[in-house]
Amino acid sequence: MKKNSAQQPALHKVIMVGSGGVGKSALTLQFMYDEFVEDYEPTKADSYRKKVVLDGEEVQIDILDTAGQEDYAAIRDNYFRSGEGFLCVFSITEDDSFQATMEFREQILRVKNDENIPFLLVGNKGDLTDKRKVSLNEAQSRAQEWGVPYVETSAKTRDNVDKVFFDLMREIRARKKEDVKGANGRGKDKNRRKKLKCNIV
Amino acid sequence: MAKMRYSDMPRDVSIDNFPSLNVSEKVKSKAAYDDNDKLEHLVSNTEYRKLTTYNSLKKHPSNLSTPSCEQRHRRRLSETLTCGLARQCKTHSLPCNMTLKHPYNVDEQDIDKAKGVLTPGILPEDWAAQLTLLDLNIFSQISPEELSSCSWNKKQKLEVAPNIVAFTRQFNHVSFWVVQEILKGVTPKMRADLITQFIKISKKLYDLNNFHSLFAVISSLQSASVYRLSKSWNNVSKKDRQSFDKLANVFSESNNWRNLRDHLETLRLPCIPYLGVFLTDLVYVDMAHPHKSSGLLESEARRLKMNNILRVISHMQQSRYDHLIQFPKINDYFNSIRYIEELHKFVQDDQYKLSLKLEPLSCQTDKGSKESVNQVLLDSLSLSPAKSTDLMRIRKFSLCKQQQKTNCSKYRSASLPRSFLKKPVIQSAVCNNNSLIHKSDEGILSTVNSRNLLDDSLIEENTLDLSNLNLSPSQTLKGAHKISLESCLRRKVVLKNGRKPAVTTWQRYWIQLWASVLIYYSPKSFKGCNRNDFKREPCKLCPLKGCTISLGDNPDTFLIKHPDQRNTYKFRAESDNTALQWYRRLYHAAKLVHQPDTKLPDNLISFD
Repeated sequence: MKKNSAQQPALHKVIMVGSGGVGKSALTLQFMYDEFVEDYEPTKADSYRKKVVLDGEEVQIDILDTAGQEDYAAIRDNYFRSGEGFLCVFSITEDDSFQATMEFREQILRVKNDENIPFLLVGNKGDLTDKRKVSLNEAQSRAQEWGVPYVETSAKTRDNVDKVFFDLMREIRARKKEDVKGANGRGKDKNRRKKLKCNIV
Repeated sequence: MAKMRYSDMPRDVSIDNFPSLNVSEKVKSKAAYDDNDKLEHLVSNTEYRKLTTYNSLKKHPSNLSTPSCEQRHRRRLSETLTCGLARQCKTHSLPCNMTLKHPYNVDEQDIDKAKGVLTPGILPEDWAAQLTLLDLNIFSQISPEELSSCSWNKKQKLEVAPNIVAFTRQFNHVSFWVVQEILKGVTPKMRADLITQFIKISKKLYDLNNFHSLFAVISSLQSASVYRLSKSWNNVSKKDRQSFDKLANVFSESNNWRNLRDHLETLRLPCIPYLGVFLTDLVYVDMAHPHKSSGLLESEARRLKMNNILRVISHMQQSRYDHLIQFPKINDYFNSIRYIEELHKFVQDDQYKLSLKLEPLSCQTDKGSKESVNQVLLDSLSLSPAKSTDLMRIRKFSLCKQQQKTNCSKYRSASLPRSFLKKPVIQSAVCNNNSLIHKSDEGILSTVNSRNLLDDSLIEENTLDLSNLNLSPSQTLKGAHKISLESCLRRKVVLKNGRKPAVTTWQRYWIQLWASVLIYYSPKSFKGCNRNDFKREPCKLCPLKGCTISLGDNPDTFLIKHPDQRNTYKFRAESDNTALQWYRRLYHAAKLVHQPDTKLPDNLISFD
């Protein structure tokens, strides 16, 4: 992983997915700005990019969150394609949002064509235990079925917020290492042109 | 023709609304005029300049933004005259300038459903112009309150932010159409031609500064279903591929949509932005500076940042595209494409299946076979109502099958509802029952029945209760649809694959009858028979094609028998009356689809 650390820290591209109103933007803002949310400027190029220290190594995280654009279903395929890891968020107080994770997972797998894509199932609004509609058991068993970790967060109390992003970055990093080793790399769909060239027979 | 259209398409603009038109009933092309008026109604916000005649263009050269535009008018006019097509709207009862009202008689012919976007005589700029006019109409109606509410993705979105929702739906509608059109191409070459045509349309949209439809088209070309068609893309010329890459790069999400933001800043009106980025910005401002009655400072920052965004949008809403010309036929064509927003997932899945069929995964040499198999399985499972359990089953199933097969239909699992997989392609949620009317040379009207794409059934106008099936153009646009009957029903399996199941229970569903398809919604809780006791997302679709409907032993029950699948289900309604009502409607709906298949519809692809 030290390969290009001389110039630029490794960049990990994380994509937030989930239905509207589950708190994707709240999680992102909490992670990016913490208590300095006044600094947030929606249109700046680096508003969703941050340097962090991951296990002693400086890396950059780039978060793509299309909160507010959930109903623009047609754009998803393309931005999923650019993601290296996914935080699939639902609200534990809303069953519909939990059901929707299934659809997101399917779509991601379809586009990435890779079952082992770094992916975390995140149950947000963990502080609202009295309004819980999705049981811990239910969520855990779905995560298990998919072979992904399940974490409950609260953007409000900041519970596990850093954890989900860091865990996902670790997975992405591990995955990149594996790909370099394997060299026959899967999920190299990043470039259509490249893909097209491969296919000229 | 006029009569057909009216019976076909009930619309919100009734003929009574414009009695002043004073056009003789005998006028053959009356429908075309009515369409103009409908459009005028639709585009009331833009200063609608009528279907600009060549004369009026001469009178108001300011309407033309570019000289090339005028050249086109000239060209079109001469085409019209030389083709002698002017007869179509020439009658004695019309004032002479009315004959010139359609310099585009070339387009009097309906859009050929089979040729669709490649219909001769309709240029990429015509499609782009039409999309732009449709977009502008909705875009200009979006109010600042809708935007600042941040509720366009919440449950009450239709009430609070109707125009934002309509605008989003227009986007999805267009992208659905693009994918659908491309997948109509039977050979890679044909698909490449379609892709090329859409790239050309994209360029025109870019020239018009219509980033809304531009992104819709670009997204479709990048969608899973189209992007993977490498054989087709290989047939697209390098130049066009480069143009596409360039346009796609405008919408790159990297650096917080830098390219798009920079581009929008340098633009001059008219312009229709891709609203999504603004919506995300608004959601984030809303989250970063929550609405609080107490903290004055916070609401100050909120107000400032919100207003910055709203100002930009409101500035763009002043856009005018008066120089663009309405093409009623293109409009009708767009409106005839049925698309139900709520069923988007099913539509997308079907499109992906079709894509796999056109260019099977095995062609993609860079994919491991295991992954390909999984992909196929994933695909076949994507329609399953009980996805999670099926996922497990199918994965196991996949491990048993080592050899790679390309046809997804081979991987049908018994646990999947048969109705999904019965047909090679079930064009779910897409229905097109507008009868196309072709004018033959002798001027005799001949009717070609198109089909309900949901179940491949022929739509026969006279046997159909049209009020149940037809949508007004504006309704279609918004993705609304009519459900002819819906209620809570209990369902029990009587026969499954010709056998009686050992254990069978009554399952509660919310069921809607849409055209000739049953749409099922699974329950949220154990009790309750109201709509809100069931999920909003449908869990399965069941075409009634070939089904036999009969009344049950008890007066509150009825049976649906799927002969080819040897499945029979018993349904129980809340009351005898409801059951009878269901029986009647279903009987009617199933009868419709019993019509013999006479002709391949223009809008359906054959794979044989």
